[in-house]
Amino acid sequence: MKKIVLLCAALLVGTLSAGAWTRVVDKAVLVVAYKNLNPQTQRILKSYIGEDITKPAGHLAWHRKNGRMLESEGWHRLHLDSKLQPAAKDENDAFVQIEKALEIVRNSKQYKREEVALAIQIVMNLVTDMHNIANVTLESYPMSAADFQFYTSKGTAGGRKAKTIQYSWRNQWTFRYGGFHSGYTHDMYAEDIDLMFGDKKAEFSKGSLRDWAHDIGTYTTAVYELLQKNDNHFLHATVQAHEPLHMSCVARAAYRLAVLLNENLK
Amino acid sequence: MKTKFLAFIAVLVALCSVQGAKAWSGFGHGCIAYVAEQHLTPEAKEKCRYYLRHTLPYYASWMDYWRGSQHFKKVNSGHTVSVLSSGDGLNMKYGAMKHLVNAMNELGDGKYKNLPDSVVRQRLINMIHYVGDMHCPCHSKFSKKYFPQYKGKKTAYRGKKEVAYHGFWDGSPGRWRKGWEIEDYAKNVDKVSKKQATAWQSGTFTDWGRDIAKGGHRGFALYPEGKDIDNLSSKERKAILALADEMAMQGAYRLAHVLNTIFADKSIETR
Repeated sequence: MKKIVLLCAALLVGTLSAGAWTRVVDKAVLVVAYKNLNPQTQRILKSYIGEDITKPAGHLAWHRKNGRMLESEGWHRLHLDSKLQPAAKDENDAFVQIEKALEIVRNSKQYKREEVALAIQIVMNLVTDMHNIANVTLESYPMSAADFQFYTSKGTAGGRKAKTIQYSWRNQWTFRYGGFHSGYTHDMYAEDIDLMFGDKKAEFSKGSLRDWAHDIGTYTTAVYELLQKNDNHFLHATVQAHEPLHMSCVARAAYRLAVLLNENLK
Repeated sequence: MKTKFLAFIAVLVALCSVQGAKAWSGFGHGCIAYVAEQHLTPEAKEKCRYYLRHTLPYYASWMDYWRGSQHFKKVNSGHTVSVLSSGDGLNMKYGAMKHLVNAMNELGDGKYKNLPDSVVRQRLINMIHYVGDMHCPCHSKFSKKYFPQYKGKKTAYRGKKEVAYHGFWDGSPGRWRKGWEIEDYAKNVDKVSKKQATAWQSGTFTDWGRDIAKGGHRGFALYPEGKDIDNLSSKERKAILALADEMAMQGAYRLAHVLNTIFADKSIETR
């Protein structure tokens, strides 16, 4: 029995992403971010993390899997107050941890190389994480503090009410949309991000980490408002129509990560 | 405890199957669209990107994901084609073939320039899917009246699980190719000679329909009725993959040809 449970757990870990989104999407964020680094930052980044710039995707989860950095379990969540300002109550917050890691990156000469490398990886992981709608805790929407079930249906098909299905909010925003593109490589996904949002790069990159947290809060609030207005129920068409929003979250994460690295990794 | 354990297993299996699903409607469609994109003229590629703001493979399965929505009820028949009673061609007024003919009439000969971008975009998105779909052997519909030999086929198996005819061919491009991504498929399968590509792309839509109907017949002939698909001989596997790949490549090269033709302000004849 124990062996079966362990086998299934291993299967789950191997199949699903341990990062913000699916592994392909998480890596695509890093590919797009890297393309938007200036040559000097690209060179410095590689000197810390190696030639494979997609390796840090899901790095914190990998550490935890190996019994290290267990304290990072709750770092992926972004807590926002009713004015959509960062409002962490403790260290378990992406905004807090990114700021701490950036402090190390900025003052790299005062730290050991492995400490700086880890701080870079923390920034790469958490900037990605904080853009996943399922990772945002809104004070105005207590339900956002943890995963919950919502309902989807195809509406009224042929005059009959279609079957309603329960679905995990976390899986909706973490796996569903990336899963639409079976067989995609991270480079393919990165190309699509740039094609769709390349012209919005400047708009997405504008402002500070705090501004971005507010921006994330704005579109996350809109999604919760819509969900609440519809009694915790999304029509199939609504679920499908949210894919561009998911893609814009991915693009925002990528372009903003590039800004942070360009500004701090010198 | 037992109930909780079973629930855990059920969730696990559901999650894993969602992640690992590879079918003509997912992996296969992505491969067809990807290969098609490699064979676009620079002008057609630029125009496609202008209208789609995405690559072709991004929209490869869009029609499948939206088919549950009422807005797209009218194009739900656009995934299959209907084989003529003679068995040697397609009904050009049905399903995916009808949509392809209509789209060419609407967009060909430079007419796309007179349409709103959103209309051209939607036609392209649909085309990326159904040109692939119509080439899948199981998407050829054979009337039971004229083709009783295809009625009541026994299913194939994977262990004790039934693998029905449709699912068998839907999943064929990715079957026995564990770990393959779209780029791997293109690299290993897109070895089509220029002569072969020209042969597939030439002619009218009616000519294409004849090839597609042939593929449909061959699909039934190769379906491993009553057998465990994981225990087929290498000869059987090879023949199944050969048909799957041939039809997928026909779909890819023809999709490229359709798009190249539209954006060269030309058209393809129906008959």
